[in-house]
Amino acid sequence: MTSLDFNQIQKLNHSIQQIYSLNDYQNFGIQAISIMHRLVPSDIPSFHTVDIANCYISDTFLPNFPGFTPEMKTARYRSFGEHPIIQQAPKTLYGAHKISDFITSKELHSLEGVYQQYLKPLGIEDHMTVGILPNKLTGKKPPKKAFIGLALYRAQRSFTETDRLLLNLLCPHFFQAHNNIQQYQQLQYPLNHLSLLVIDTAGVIRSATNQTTTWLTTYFTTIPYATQIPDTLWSWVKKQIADLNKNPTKTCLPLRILQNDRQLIIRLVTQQQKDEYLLILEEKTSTLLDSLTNLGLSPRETEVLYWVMQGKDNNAIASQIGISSSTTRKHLESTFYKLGAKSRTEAITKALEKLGFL
Amino acid sequence: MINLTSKEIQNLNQSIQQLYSLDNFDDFGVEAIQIMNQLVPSEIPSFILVNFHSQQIQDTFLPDFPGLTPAMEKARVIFFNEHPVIKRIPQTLDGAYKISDFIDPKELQSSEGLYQRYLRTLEMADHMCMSLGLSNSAHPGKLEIPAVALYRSQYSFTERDRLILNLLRPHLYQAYCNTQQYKKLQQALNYLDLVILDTEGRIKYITAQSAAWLEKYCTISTCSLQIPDSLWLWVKHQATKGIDRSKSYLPLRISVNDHQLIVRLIIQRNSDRSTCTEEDQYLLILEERKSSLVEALTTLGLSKRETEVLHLVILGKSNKEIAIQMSISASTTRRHLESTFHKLGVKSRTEAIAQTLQKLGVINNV
Repeated sequence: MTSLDFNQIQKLNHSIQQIYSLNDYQNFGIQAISIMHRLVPSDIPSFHTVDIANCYISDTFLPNFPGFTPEMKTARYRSFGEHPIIQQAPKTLYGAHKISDFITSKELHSLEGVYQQYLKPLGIEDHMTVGILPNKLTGKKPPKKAFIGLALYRAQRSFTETDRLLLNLLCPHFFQAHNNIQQYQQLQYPLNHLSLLVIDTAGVIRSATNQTTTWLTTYFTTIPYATQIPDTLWSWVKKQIADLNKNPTKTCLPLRILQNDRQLIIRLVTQQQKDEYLLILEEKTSTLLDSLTNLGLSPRETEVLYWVMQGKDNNAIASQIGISSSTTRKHLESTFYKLGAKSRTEAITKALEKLGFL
Repeated sequence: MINLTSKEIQNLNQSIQQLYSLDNFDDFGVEAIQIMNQLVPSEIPSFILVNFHSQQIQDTFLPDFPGLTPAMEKARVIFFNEHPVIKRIPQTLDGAYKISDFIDPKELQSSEGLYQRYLRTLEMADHMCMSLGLSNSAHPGKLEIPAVALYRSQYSFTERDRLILNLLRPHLYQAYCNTQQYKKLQQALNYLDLVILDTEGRIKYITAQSAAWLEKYCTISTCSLQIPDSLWLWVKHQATKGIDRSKSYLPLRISVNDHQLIVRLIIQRNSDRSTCTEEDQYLLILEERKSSLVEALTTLGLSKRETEVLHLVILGKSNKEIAIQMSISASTTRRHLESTFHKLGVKSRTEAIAQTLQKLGVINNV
């Protein structure tokens, strides 16, 4: 039975902690193989995710490796069933297994696809894969469709049993850490995609996401890195708070700041801790015209309806979009028909109803 | 030098993974000592947070241990610096140390506070402590040190126990920090009324307020793991309509009486492929609003009657219908309408609607 000496245990233990300190989901693969590489070196270390449903393998390598050529990738797909580790599946899907566990050098060299077109051009003689299947693991719900794995390529048949043991010991941690980081990322995502601004009761910024800072400078022309929110915004917040104190059941309307065809919408959320306010910022490029396209009218009809909603009469609309007033009337009639309305007033009402305003 | 057997390494490895599968910060202490106790058993295992400014110690024990009596706690604070492991800080901050490393049983028994009023009352003879590292994230300015402490009634701690504890140490600390980070994230999200769904419509995360709203607007029980069918149909429809990231989806509005729940959808794709993967998820951001149009109209500065007339105009009613509904004459209706037009500065009812909606910000509200 292979065992580890104290020094190896310490190195392994340190590597495990490093795996769990990773917090960047996008770069998990590359950071994970860097950690693995220091423990079990190889000529080409890689991390891959396999999407079983779509037969899609995506590989991650260390930055100094240029990646597989398209020919190698094709060869890998075509000779998939020829690979001794795949042939021995499912027992080889979990844990560390190498080609040399199953076939001799000579047998490997006779493999047309796996060796001649894929491993040989890389100068590789042995290939160890570490399947990280979820079923042996404790904890959270495992993903169903995709699994992750590690692969190590060496120019010599030099993988030792200690290498295998270390990889087998690391294996559950790669899975657990990947799961944790994924779970973390799923909560982190909304925070990255919503722009939030937390201020204290004196209008001093406590925290702001990057997007928020950018918008504050574009819409308010404040200096970047200001510690105080812009004066106009602060007056608005104070007014809303005063209104809310008078009438707590009132919901406050968002603040809208227009700039060209974009608008910044700022919502105020108070609750919970009373000593700070949360502002949620949202930028909308969509105009009324954009939302009217959701009604299923033709582009012209949509345009006509838009001007009707701006209070224009048929003549004004005709000259606005450069068509005759009889064409305008025709568009309007078919719009009425589609919306089930008899008058222009009713058309507006029906449109607003459908868009959910009324 | 002690070495670990293959079996011991396997057990340690498995316990480490268990530690990192913990995701509840509030229960971290008790769950961590449960895991630790399987590797290095002791009569009383505990997880402690030491605040060195106030010399306050906050303990977590396994559920079957009743805890320290107030008298013991008091003795511990008074004789804080009498403890040989604490006395030797900072040297003792880097790993597991036991009382018997520094003083022999006789010396310990002669210590008035530590032994007579504290360890002896617990019927404990030796005490092994291991600080995990600094943690200053809980309260800014308040430096706390998480640590574990094991009590035994015999002098039976071995060097192997110490070794295993020292190997666990970085993981106890890392996992503690990870769950703390995770909790912070959850707290930040609590500001928002959010539901996170997987690609099958199962609820992965929901805030308390969101659950209450779903119950109120969709009449489902809060313990349901699936979102209401009607809502799920809407999400799926939006999701299949297009994978154009730049497009903003129209929010869903569900009205109950004069309140409205506005549901906004954000589709999160973790991969660039067009097919759905396990990692994808849907975020619903909920917001409740008073939807009463009449109430919003009152902010326009019209008289009560004018507001009512304008409301009915917006609902597409003719003058005759308005007159009947409000039980006023047609000419009075016309008079109200005219003065409304004048106040709004418009000439036709269409213009009046357009003007009103613009003033209220409804039109730009998509």
